[in-house]
Amino acid sequence: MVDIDQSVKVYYEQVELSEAQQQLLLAMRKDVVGSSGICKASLRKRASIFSVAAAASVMLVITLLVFRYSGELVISERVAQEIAMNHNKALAVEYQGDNYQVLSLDMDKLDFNLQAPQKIVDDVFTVTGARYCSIQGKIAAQVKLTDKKGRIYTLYQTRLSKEFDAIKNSSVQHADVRIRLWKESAILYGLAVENEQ
Amino acid sequence: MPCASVALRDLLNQGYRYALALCHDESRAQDLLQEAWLALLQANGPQEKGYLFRAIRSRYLNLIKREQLVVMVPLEEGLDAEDAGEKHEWDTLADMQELAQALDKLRPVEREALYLYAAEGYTAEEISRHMDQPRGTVLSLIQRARAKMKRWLKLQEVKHG
Repeated sequence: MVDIDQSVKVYYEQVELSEAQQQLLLAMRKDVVGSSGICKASLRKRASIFSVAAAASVMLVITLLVFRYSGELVISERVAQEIAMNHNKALAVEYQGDNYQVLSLDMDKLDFNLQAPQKIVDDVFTVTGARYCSIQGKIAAQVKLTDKKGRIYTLYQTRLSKEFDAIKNSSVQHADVRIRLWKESAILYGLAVENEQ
Repeated sequence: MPCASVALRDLLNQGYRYALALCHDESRAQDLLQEAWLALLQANGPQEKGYLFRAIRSRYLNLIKREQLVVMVPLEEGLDAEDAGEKHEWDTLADMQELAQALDKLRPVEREALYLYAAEGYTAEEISRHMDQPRGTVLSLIQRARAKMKRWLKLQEVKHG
């Protein structure tokens, strides 16, 4: 007879996150908490106590500028990394449709209307379907597109929120995936495609 | 690799396994873990298993509400409350693929209770507090989960001779 408890234990013990997923989660920690293990929000509160001294103020301004710049890089990199991961999963679409309007009607859990981004020329790409996903914990849509050569692209849309303020229109390379990030009418877009061999 | 990093990786894998026990879907489990982890970090909460599990669970319950994936019906109490901890005469391990299929046959609450008991080594009392269910219900869930899996695995055995 099978020992159910032991089998269940062994089954779950062999399940592990991939190295890429672990790296992503550890990077999130580094970004939010910092290497000291104390939340950056707490550190900022403490820093304000000492900010009365003029010299410290100057230092603080410099620090904040550096922090802002690195924060900008970190959030873009994190979003790109997450998009690359979603792209590589190549999960099947949950909703079939050849245009954004139809998909938007089906995907009523989204807190924004799915729309055709102006940066993407309609006659270059064909929409094949979409599924729900998340970007930095925010609900998002992953739209599957193909170009005229049959290459598969995934387009991500999520509502712009404060967390994404620092993201600039940019192109990021993550492993074999090229990701373009941009903002348009209160939506953050990400377009991912594998590099051509 | 530094010790802290190893401990964090262990914690993340534990969170992933628990999320997988809840939804039995790798992709959803990854999303659940990521959302819970981010929330925990942003709240400056302790990076401990109990807190992470709680964050994962509440996000899973929200997901159910949002997507109406399954109904978490309250279970009647009863069955033999004391025998969840009994020793069985079963002594072999099931085939992993069949086991995955058997786990898929369970309701999420049954899988969760069995996972916490068998894989995490929680006591029924601890599971009861974590799941916010009476202890008797937890024990029933574990028993039913075992019985369902046993039945299903037996069926497979008969099918495949």
